[in-house]
Amino acid sequence: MDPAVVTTIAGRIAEHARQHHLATVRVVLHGGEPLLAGPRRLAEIAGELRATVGPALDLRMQTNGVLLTEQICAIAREHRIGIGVSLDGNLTAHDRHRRFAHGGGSHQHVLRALELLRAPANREIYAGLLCTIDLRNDPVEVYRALLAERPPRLDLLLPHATWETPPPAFDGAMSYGTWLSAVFRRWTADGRTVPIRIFDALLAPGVVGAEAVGLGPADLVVIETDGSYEQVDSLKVTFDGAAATGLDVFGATVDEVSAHPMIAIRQIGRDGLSATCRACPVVDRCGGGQFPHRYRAATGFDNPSVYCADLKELIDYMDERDGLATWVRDELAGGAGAADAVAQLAPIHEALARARMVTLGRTGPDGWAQLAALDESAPDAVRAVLTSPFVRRSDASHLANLAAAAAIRAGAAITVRVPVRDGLLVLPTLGALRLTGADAVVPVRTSAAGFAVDNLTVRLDDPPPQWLPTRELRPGIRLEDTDPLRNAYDELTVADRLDDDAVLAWRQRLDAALDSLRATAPQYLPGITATLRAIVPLAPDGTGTQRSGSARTAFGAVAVTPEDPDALALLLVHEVQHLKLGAVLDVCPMFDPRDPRRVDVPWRAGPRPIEGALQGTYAFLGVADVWRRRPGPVAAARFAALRDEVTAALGALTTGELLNPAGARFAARMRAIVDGW
Amino acid sequence: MDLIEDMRQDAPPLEDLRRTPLGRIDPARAASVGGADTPDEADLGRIRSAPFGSAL
Repeated sequence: MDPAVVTTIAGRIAEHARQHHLATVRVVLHGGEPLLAGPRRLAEIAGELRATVGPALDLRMQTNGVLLTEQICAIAREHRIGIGVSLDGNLTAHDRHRRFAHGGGSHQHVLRALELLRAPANREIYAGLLCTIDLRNDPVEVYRALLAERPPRLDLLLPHATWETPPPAFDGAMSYGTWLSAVFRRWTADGRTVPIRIFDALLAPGVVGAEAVGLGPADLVVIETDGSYEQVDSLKVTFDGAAATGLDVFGATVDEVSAHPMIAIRQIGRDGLSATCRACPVVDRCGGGQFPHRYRAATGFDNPSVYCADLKELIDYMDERDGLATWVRDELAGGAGAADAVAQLAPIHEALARARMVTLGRTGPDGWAQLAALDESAPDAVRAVLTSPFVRRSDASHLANLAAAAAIRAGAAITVRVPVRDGLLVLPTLGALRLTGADAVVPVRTSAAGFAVDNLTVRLDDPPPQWLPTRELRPGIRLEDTDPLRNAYDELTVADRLDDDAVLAWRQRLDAALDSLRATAPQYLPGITATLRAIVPLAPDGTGTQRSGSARTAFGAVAVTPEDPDALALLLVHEVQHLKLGAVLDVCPMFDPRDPRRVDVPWRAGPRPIEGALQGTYAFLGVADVWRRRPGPVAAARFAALRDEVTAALGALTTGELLNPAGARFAARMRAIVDGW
Repeated sequence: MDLIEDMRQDAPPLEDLRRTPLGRIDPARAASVGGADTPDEADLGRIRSAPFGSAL
């Protein structure tokens, strides 16, 4: 590249960054092969760009790696050049396409380059890997080969193709969507330890940008070695001259080239897409696919991507994996839900509880380091604590309580500073220690037998009177009457800690309620077994009104007043329906949470937010179903009345496009069930 | 070959968050999935809890 061209390019970039107050301008040296320029020229180009553009410059290079040397690495370190390398997988995969003129493969050369980049001194310049998909290569083997090079990030590229020159296809090969889905599955199972751009961009549209997908504006322009501006290289697969702009750095600013019609149309988001794309429910995710892939001779770029079906397949698969499989939602919408469907809900709570811990742990509060360490050494103990209902209502200070409880369960000796609230030192799932006049935060030393606070030792098998143990009503179902976080229910008053006689009464009440269900509506028992972890007694208000409650962030807990067994059975069904749908909504939105519209429901005065109406409908669907199964005229009348109410609510919910497609499907399934009664 | 023979998913969602030790979970990933736990005031379509008070 002529020095005058480099100087002019650097000036244009600096001019553009200045005019638009850009915090970052990414410049990628690519090819052909940028290392053909040689180390000296590379250093000169990088030095000039850095000197002219200044601190806003984010300089990268995309190379095949063959010519990468320690000398180049040293230059890259000096000029802060991030180096991305093209690698298509293992030896067989990579050498299918990436061969020298003499026919020999380049795989070993690339591995040598990556070894250089993995060296501790060079890690900072190792930008990542780019892999072009070939359907003949096993997706998981490719993924593993890429991961073996320990890249900080990677991306999987669909081969450039158009409707005129379709993607390479091979007899018996899977689709590109299936190929990518297989990698996505493995990546997810591995814990998503390395960012993969195409997946991140589809999972977080608008947050993670990618040229291949999304509705973000086109923000790159190519400058050839002679100074001419071009559009993205990949346009060259469409037709001769497609990438040309007729402009160059000597005569035009970056703003002027940005106004080129083919670039401008990629800066207006959805409006720049074909009618098919604009009407598609996943357009916000794929953004119509990569621009060149939309090309067809007769209609130009006014088409979906030639990879449209593949992207849709991948997005659907990702949603099923990260959301909730359609069959699970369909099964749950029918009312009770089979055991294998309801079994998917508690893990959602566990995953979200863990996500909450990580979010709270970012600032390093007391307990975080211990909890993270215990999760490695004693995962079952941590799991027992983090799956309890109120964990997602924690603040950062509560991590210490959770860590101490997990340590005691693990028999591990740790010391952690634990807050005392309302005179209680709470150890979730175990109990609470009543402390009077204690400091707001006290050091707790745990052991296999229990714990010690100041001069008080608490052995859980022989505790002092200040210890208030958690009590079980049935195996796996606790009575929660002590933890302050249980106060999670608007309009409801939780009862204070109960005496032993009251606990016994609750055990008998719950047993009888479940017996009642077993006799008349056993279909609802799997849902209760899979979700119910705690009963929170509510204080009766003296009017005889049945009261109960559930909260989205307290999965597994049902708050309820003490009722006779048949009434308690109905209240449990009602609230467990809420818990089930809450877990579904946690991973599968069914409406726009910001939609302010209200919905009239028959069972409550005043219109409800969309979530309230949907939740109420699902809860009363379950209650109506139980009444339907109970014998006698009273039950028949209650069933008929509730069936009509659910029908009316479904009518209100399914008008006015209150629900998104997933919500509409859930409501339609409920409607089909009610219509079949 | 690790093909996807059956699109029916028997594993629950977000399994990576359950399998990955807490200290190794990407905070950005945790924040992105945990957003629903902290609704803001503009989330007028949501409810915080579902209280019931009547007779079933």
